[in-house]
Amino acid sequence: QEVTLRLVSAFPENGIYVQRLLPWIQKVNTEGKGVLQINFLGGPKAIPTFEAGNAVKTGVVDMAMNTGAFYTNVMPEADFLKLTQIPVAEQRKNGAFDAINKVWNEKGNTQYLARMVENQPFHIYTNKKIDKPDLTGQKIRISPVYRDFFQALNASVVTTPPGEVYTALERGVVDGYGWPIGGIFDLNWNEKTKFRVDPGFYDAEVSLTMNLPAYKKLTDAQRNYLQKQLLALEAQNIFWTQYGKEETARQEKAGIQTIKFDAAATKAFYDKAYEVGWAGAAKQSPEVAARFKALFSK
Amino acid sequence: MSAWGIAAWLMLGGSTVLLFIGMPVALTFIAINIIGAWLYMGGEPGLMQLARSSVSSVTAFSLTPIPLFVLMGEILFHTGLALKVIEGVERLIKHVPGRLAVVAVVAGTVFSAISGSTIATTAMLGSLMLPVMLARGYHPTIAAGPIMAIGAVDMLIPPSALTVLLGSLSGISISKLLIGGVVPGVILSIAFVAWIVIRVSISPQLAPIDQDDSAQHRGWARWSLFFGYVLPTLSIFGVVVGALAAGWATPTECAALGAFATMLLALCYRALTVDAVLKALKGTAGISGMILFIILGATTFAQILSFSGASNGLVQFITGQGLSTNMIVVGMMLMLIFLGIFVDQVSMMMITLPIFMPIVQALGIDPIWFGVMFLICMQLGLLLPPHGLLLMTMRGVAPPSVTMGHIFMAVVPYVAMSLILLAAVFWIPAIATWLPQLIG
Amino acid sequence: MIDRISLFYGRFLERLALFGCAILMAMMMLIVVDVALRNLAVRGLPTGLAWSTEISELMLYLITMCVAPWLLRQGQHIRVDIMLQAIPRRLAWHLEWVGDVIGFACCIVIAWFGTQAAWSSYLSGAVNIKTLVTPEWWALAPLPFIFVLLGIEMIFRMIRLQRGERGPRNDAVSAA
Ligand code: NA
Ligand code: NA
Repeated sequence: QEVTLRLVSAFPENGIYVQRLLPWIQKVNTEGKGVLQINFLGGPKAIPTFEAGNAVKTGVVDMAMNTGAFYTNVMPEADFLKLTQIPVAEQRKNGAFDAINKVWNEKGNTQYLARMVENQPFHIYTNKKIDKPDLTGQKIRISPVYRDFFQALNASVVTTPPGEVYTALERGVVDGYGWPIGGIFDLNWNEKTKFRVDPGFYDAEVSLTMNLPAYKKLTDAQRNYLQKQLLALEAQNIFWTQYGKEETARQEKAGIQTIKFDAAATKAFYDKAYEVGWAGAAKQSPEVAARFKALFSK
Repeated sequence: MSAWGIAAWLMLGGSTVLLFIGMPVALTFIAINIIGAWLYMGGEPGLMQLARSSVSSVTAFSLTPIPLFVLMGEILFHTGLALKVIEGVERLIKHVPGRLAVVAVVAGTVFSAISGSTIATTAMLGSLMLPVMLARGYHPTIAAGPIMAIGAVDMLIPPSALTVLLGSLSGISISKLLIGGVVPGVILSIAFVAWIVIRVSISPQLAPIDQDDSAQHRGWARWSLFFGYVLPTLSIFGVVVGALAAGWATPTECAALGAFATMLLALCYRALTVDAVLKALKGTAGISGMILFIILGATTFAQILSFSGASNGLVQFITGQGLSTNMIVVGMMLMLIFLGIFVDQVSMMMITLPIFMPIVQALGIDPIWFGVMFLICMQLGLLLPPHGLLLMTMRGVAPPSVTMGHIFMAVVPYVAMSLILLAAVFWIPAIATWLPQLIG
Repeated sequence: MIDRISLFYGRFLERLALFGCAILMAMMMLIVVDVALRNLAVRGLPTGLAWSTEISELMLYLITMCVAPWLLRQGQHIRVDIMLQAIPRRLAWHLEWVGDVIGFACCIVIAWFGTQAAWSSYLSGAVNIKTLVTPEWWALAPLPFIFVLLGIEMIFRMIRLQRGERGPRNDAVSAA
């Protein structure tokens, strides 16, 4: 028989994540006639961004495209996924994927289906040049993902909605912001950005999740079909490596200079990001953090 | 009928029925939300989700300027600063036909730059200036008209609580919308003054030349109140814009700076009594609490409408009719003007934006241009008989000698001017978009 | 008897609204202090309050909650009464009843499911992780509480309707 799953996105519909998702949904629906169909209900205009995780947990929707930082209210462990240093294909092999699902099942009533964005490290973008990994005296716009890290670098942090970042940069309300390697052109932030700090750190995580009872209710045929399509989706993640390269080149062309540190400072910067990240994780959920750290790290 | 058709009828039709049997607007949305959540979000979990989404709808930093902008106007009103500003303006304007009406428009424009609440501005001018004009033999229509009209312009000129709400609900940049209202607002102010002068020149009996008791104020006495009160009050506007330009604060945070600066100014004049602050806070709580409670119901309403598939269905239906973009824009504006006759500004936004904004995006319409026209339509709605908010406000503060008939008649030329402005912005988008592009 | 209870209840709602006013004042000050600290960099003081945004938006929600029942008592929740004024007064009075009953039912439903949402969040130990880490149910609990208050006020509102003349009320029809 055929089942129709209702999917929402925690990200806006005009963004690249939804644009990557829609063709996949179309493929699923074309090839899955009589087996499984996905009905895309919409982005934040259908469910508030920070409610998408809960909607999956309670079964208000069947599936969501979401990132962990948006559903820490379901389980704090959700945000740990940004700390993975190995590809999802390897996570499926080394047991990380199962470990994630054990927690997601128990705490979130949720099945973790597939990771559809990889190799999208976060960077510090700023208009004030720095020569060492220290943001003292800089006002940086943050999101929860890297708040701890930026504070550890002595930044004074500012929270503003994405729509105000351009004005905030233009007027100097903020000196910089954190963002993945891709996407700063979407809101024209490139016009008001002078420097990008390399290396990047963490990995922007965007995944598909599913209500656990709804997942269990699928017949074997339906579940196998879904699994086949999910693996096909993950197999396309090579796209993001290419996208990251293109965005880097585009930034360079737009006149954004790269700030690099010497090898020792670079390593210290990178290690500190993960050290702070895992320390924050351990504060929220020490056991799971320890288990995940062993499986996520290189 | 298609599934989305049923959902659309149920939710849009249902809320319209409840609205017209006189249920409070906020409860109307909540009632339909309950039915919608039950039907489309899976029963009990859906209703729990409804409660959670309702909380998150007003837990939004972008909405904080709404009470803060209203507070600015209320402080101006309750501390008596407004009275001094009017006097200051009055001493400067001399030998003009319909002098006091012109004073009302100019003082109202000054208030607009400080007050984020049309009702505060209209009530201020209505209670302070209308009795004076009537006592000096002004015809009720020439006395009441400019006050209501300039009260409505308050909504176009920043700060403006309704503009913040429009930006927040539509996803259009709030700061650009606020700036976009400046040019149309100032155009209207100038047009109002011109109209009063022409009208009174033709029929001088409408506004007898007053004894002009300000004639005694010469030299410094003429300017003292201007420098003592009008300029300092206008400087609040400077503080807000300055804090933004200097990079001290984000646009949202500037609202708090503005409210704080207004209080500080009142304190400097020793006008900031506990009683005045309390009255201002209560007045603010009344207006903004009402708006925010509607937002609580209406944001979730839009989400469920989208969730049910009704939004997408309607948008595809409308954009699939083969109409030109301009025709669709005109249709949307006509619908807004029509709605403005019956319902308040907040409900206007709530009812239309979930459908209008996806259309605006789908057709690639300039959101600032569209947003400013939306503002002008709402501004019109404030003035349209029989239900316009400012007509009611005027009724509330005017002496009994001013009839509802006077009030309706008084507002007609200003409604006409607003309509002309709307048409002008439609044909010449630069009126709306030039300044936001310049300042960003 | 009922009048006395209603009177006391009205005073309670006003106190609650005044509390809302105090929060409004505090919200303004909080944002101002955050901006000041960020730009003045006073020695010995933090450079900005990282939690000011999340606390001010929570304050905005609490203002909405504290004021809503008082506004209902005052008849200040705007509505569209153009039809009520146009139809026979007695019919309008009956429609007021229909509206009140539906409104009362809504308050009960939201209060019930709001409680469920807060309770299940409490049981699962959900926390909001921002600059501050707070239990999620803190934010969810005020909503059902206020809707209980709104429901009680709805009862007083219906009593007033029953006792009053057979016609539409004089509630607010607009504001901003
Ligand atoms: Na204004
Ligand atoms: Na205004």
